[in-house]
Amino acid sequence: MSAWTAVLDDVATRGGTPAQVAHRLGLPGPLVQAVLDHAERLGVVEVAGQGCASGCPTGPAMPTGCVGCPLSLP
Amino acid sequence: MSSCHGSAPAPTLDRSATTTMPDALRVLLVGGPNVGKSTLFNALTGARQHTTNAPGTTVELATGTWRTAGLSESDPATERSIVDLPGSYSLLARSSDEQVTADAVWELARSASEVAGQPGVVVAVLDATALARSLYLLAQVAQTGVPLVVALTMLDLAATATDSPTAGVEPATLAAALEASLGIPVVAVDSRSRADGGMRGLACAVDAVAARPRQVTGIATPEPPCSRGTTATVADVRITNGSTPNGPVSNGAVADIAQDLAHAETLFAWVEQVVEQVNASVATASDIEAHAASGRPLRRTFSDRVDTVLLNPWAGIPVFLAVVWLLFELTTKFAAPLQGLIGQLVNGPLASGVTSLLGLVGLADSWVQGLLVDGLLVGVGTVLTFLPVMAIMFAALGVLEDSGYLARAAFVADRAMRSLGLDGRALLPLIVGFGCNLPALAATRILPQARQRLLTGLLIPLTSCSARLTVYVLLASAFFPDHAGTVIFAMYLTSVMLVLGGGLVLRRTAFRDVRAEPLILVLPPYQRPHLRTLAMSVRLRVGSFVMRAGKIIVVTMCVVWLLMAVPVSGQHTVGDVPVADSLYSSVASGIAPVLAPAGFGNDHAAAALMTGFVAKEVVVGSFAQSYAVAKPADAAHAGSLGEQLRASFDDSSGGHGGAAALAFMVFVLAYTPCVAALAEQRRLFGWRPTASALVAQLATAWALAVMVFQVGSRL
Repeated sequence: MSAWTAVLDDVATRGGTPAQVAHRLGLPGPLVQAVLDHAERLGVVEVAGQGCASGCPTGPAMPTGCVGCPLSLP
Repeated sequence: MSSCHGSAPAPTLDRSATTTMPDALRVLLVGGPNVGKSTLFNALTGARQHTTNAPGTTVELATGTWRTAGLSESDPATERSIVDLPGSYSLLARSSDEQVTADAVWELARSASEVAGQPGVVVAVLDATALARSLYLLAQVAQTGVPLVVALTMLDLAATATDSPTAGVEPATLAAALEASLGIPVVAVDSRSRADGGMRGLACAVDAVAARPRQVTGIATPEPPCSRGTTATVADVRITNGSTPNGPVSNGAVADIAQDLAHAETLFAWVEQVVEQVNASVATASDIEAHAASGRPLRRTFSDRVDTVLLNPWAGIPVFLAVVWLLFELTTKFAAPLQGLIGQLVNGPLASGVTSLLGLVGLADSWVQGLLVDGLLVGVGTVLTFLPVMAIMFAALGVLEDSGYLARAAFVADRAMRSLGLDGRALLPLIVGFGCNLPALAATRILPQARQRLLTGLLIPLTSCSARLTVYVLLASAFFPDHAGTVIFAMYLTSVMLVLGGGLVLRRTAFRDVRAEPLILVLPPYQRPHLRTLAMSVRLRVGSFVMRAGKIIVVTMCVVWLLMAVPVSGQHTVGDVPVADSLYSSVASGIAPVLAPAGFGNDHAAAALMTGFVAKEVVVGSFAQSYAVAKPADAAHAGSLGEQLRASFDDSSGGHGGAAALAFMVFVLAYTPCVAALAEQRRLFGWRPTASALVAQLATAWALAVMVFQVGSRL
């Protein structure tokens, strides 16, 4: 499995910071960062907490990454 | 590793034998942030460089001439035009800075594919400590089909990184391994070296690739437009690649998300393959066994250990605040004696010298003396007095950036600034603005995006600089002697509220497009800043300030002198007129009615605000001059000036002098800080945003002052 697929699969199932993903997969940190950066530029990965300061989106618009947040509303 | 004639002498400057090609080779430096790209640019160009804005944008580009001596005595020296493009992680641009880089690469690709196009080469600067990340960008650049050379940097750090397969590997070995894998020239460079540092090898590689381009192994480049049988454009090539430099392709049958993902898969498979090949080439069998057998996390580096403190919220934020406080102190208290010294030198011996010279040619006490001494010399003196502040700020920022701390500062302050759509780095210039707005504006260069820099640059004038403090102290002690401290504190609080309010309003109006990029930052390892590179950077930036902002300051000072020198009443000659009888006073009288709703619609206040446009430091002196009383040695003890102020403000406000004084202070806080800050805004952002900001500041200041007075006078 390529780094691209491995990182996206890991993020989709477990989430976490780039460093955590790199540690779990045993991949170089810069490679994981590059993969996540590219994935975000393509719009297939979203950074959780990005909207925290400007107000949480709620309901169907809530990003997947916010679901577990105690401050988010269903 | 690519090199030509390893024993050849280092590059020298030889103007007599220089070949200035009519169609000089164009070299683009492309690389991620913090990979040593600008340091390499400085090493290649020396003083032969200047900064310009990319066409149609406010993105600053450094361009220069890269000159090397010939390979032999019979060969002429060679000149190449070189551009230091903004640091970019990807050609899928997310900001205007990244867009400029992507556009420049695509433009070079288009030009290179044309028979009569300008020859060009991209030098991709790769960070040896984060090879995978750098290779990702390299792959994207290679896909455009541009002639490519790799400059490998940070080799000293890569060699000492204990958890890396490249630990202990000689730079030449690593470069050779990478070159074997990529199939294009790879040059190990050390831009900080006093010796050649690989510069000659880089020049040879660039010239060789320009003459005979080579493809990166394993990367498919687009078909040349001529072979397609159609008039294919760069846009076609982008679609073929599955993505555009503008960002993800969101619709369309050809460029759908599946194609993007497949393309990404191929791209990262190539990156992995190259990393594995390089690691296998440089690692010895014992290294591999040791890594495999250990089975435990690799040892943490020095940077990792320091980061456990500096990135920890409980320790990192106080350290960040301490660093900002130090910057604040450096740009105010430390620079103040130097500024005073320069001021004394210009206004004392230099002014006396010019006056004496004019006396010798019979122009003593003439309007010429007034223009030269009170206009031109004062303008030059103003520019010179700002030099220490600017030099200190640029040097401090250089140290923070080179050492790797700035990236950490961005990390710890990020959340505080996110609501304004800015990243953590914006907090630093905003805090410095409370010392002096001018270096704070200069400090916006640490922000990665042009729109973020503009937004921060528009908010900085709302931070209450120390020069405004003298006005607060004078008016607060004159009108509220028992609560002066509270009033001054309230002014600073108002300043913070204005920054936050202004930021939120701008984010929801003119800056809807600005969003803080998620911090996927590569934190560079800590390293010792290099003095020579730092000095060169400070010299270039201070020079740019003097040449571009300085001219505006000097012209403005001459205009102010002219207004004060032209008499409109009384029997006076040009250049020898009391302020009250001058055109300046006449203009102030014309402005005064506009200020009446704010309670300070008198000539004295209007004249002081006009002078304050030049610099807030002179507002107190302007009041003293206007009332024809001595300027108080201590603004907190206003004496007869305070009595005059109370009388005229009471008069113009219908007995509500206190409310009018508060309104005046708010006006001083919100309107244009000084002509130098205006000139710096013009230098950084261009005329249109500066003019718009000027109008907005005046309108905001007026509206707030009217509101304060109207509410205050009714309490």
